[in-house]
Amino acid sequence: MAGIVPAIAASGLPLGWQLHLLRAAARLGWRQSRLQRWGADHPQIAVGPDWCQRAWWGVAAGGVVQRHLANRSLRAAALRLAEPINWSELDAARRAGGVIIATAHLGPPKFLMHVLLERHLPLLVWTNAADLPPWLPATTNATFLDPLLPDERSVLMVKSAVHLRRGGVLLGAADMQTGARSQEFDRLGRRWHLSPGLPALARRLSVPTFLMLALWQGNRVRIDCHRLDPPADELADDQWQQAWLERYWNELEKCITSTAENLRFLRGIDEGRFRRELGM
Amino acid sequence: MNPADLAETVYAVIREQAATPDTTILPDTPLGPDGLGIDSVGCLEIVLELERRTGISLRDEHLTAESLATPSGLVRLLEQAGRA
Repeated sequence: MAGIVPAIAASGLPLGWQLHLLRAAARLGWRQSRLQRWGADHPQIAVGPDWCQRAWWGVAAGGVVQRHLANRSLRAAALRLAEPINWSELDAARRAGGVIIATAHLGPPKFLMHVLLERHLPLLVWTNAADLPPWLPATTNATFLDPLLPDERSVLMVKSAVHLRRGGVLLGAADMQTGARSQEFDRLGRRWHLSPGLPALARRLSVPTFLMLALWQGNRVRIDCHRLDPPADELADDQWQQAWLERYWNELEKCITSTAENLRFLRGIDEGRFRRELGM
Repeated sequence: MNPADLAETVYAVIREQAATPDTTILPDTPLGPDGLGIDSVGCLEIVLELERRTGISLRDEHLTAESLATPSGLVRLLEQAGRA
């Protein structure tokens, strides 16, 4: 069953059927021992009898959907998985100026970015350039910056500030360290390193932040979007950023502890090996 | 602001952000990890403070990795933005 993700993605079956097939494959319990160990190491997460199957399905289904999103002719089928989205609060904030959209490495990879690209927002995206389909940048007016590339990282914050000041929308994730600086959190029995870039921009430019996550809900994808309340103005900059990150993290933790299929195991699991087992 | 004052302002602001403020700062001293150890968040602080002190607003088309890499790059960046 090695390479199940590319095999199913290349099957030519409708995407909905592919996701159902992966559910059946998940029930076989194949390659789930690594997930069981991860769950056992995190006692705050209720690892019930079907937890490993759901977690495995989430990673595999995310891989299949990401392959659809990367394929120009299949991308629309993937985007049709999205439940209707309520844009009203975000649109209202945009009319007043720049907006930060803080997302996270949960749920199907890159789904939210593609949803936002379809909306033709004046978007600047922090993303791993290796994950971008080669055809994509030429088809959008969005700007992409890769925090992992030293040259792009060095201008990332300043370009983002200029973009926000001009009323643009910035999409980034703060749930992993990409630069020299990080904020550490001891939660769920382990240490997490969050990136202070987004809260630094929110603080210095006084722009609102929306937490947006694309999350599995059955075989569909729900886009959660709500404003992240800013910490109190009177806090010192570092305390303000810490408070912002705590609020952000609290929202992620609800998802991490409650919906196995939205975990992507970016930390604490041999992610590379796990993904290779799935052929991703 | 004349060029000498501009350069002096750039050096003063960089010194405030540098991990070791007593370090000698030369025109080509790298601001990043190979030099003063200023990361991208620190770089943002420098630029916003320079904008505040000089009254010059930077625009996206002026911003390059090179322009934010050294004190001399920042001085050139501000001169260029000030002329625009």
